[in-house]
Amino acid sequence: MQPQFNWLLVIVAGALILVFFSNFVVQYTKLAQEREDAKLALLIEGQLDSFSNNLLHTSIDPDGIDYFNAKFSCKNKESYVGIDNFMVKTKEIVFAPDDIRTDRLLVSIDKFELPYRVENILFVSPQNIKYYFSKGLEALENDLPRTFGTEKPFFNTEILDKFSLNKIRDDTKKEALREVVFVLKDNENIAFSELATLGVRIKTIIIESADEDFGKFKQRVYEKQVDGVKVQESEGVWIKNLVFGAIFSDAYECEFSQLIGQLENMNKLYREKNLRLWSKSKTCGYELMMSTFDKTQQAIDAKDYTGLLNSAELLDRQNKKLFENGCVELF
Amino acid sequence: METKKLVKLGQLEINETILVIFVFTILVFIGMIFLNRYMQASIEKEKQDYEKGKTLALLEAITNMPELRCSAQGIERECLDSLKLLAFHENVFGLRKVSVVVAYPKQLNRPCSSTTYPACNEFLLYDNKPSLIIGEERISSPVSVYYPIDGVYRIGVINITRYIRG
Repeated sequence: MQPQFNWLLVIVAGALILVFFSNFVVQYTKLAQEREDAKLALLIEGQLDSFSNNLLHTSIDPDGIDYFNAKFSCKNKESYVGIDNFMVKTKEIVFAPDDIRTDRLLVSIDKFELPYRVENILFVSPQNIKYYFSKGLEALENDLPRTFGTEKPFFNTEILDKFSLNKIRDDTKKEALREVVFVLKDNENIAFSELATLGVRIKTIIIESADEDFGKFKQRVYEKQVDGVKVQESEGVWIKNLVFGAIFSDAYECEFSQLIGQLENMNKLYREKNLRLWSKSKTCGYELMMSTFDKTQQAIDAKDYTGLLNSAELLDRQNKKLFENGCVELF
Repeated sequence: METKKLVKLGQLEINETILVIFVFTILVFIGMIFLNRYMQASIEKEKQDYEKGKTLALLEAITNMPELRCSAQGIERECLDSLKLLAFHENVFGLRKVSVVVAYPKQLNRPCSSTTYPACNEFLLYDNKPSLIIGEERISSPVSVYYPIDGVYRIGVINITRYIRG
């Protein structure tokens, strides 16, 4: 009985040690992976942060890393960037797809002005997401940056003369696309549910009044699932170059609110500056600007975006007038 | 008699093996504790390096912020607007202190507020000091400060102090 007991003890102890070591290896690998994710996430956040000071278009191509899963999210007016499950808060306003698998991120920085600079905004997308602009939206596509020294679009965009399922299928295979985005003027006759069966994510953005500074858009996302194609719908508004935010981002509404919050801060700041200038000079017309700042705030509160654009235009005129009258300009 | 002796010897060897395994496990366990401590320390160091890098990046970012930069006729210039410095109330710099001190020409040595401006020398933009700190790191850079009412430029220094929480 005694030798049997000893053998049993050795087996149990061996099994426990084996479990202990396997658990250690699993935990260590997980920790090492999390550490790498954290390093990469911080690297990407740091690069986005430093790029945001300049109006440029460039790419983020981390050394020694083939493919990575970049995530972008926005919750409660706060933006996050991360790798897999490790997310870092960023102060930048980033319009990007929420889940990207790529070897490099394409980044373009533009300023958002109303009429003064409110913030620099970042548009991010990988090469394996293709944006098809329908005919009639050439001007919009042309506003996107070009690769330095060429006429080649910086992002993966194309003007679609005529919709062809075969062409999209070929492009998807040839360019190893993970997502296809259609930017349309109206709900054109395209069989999106058929496209969804290609196995890539399909997004459509229907832009209203694309040649103006303000409009609405409708977004639809088609995703293939086991029981068929799942369609998600949403809609929103855009002002000026935020139309590209609506095209690039999967969390547009949150980022838009973030930007409007920043506009509110800037409006308060300029109002305060204006008040001080007014107290020093009563003849320059600063009191008119006070009322425009108040109107801007009212438009923000009422979500009256045409009113907001009108106030911005008026502020711009009033600021120019200050210069013409030899007074201190506000911005 | 011989078999009993052999069994006893076998038992002794098994006990010895178990003891060796037990000691070995304890040694591995101690090693793991040290490894864990080392990894935590290296993660903490990386975090500190990141925060240090962030502070440096912040120096550039602050001087580019539309909330602080001066502009004329809609075109931004390489300076900070003193009236904007006075009106700045944002909470975006983490555990840091950010201030701009006007160094030349010499101004009255007192904080700037709506009542003391422009006869003052220090614009405190932000200060978020935790209750317990184990250190501070400060970086500074010269900046040009514009006074729009008088139309003059003064030389200032932007200071960013990072509080290292205990």
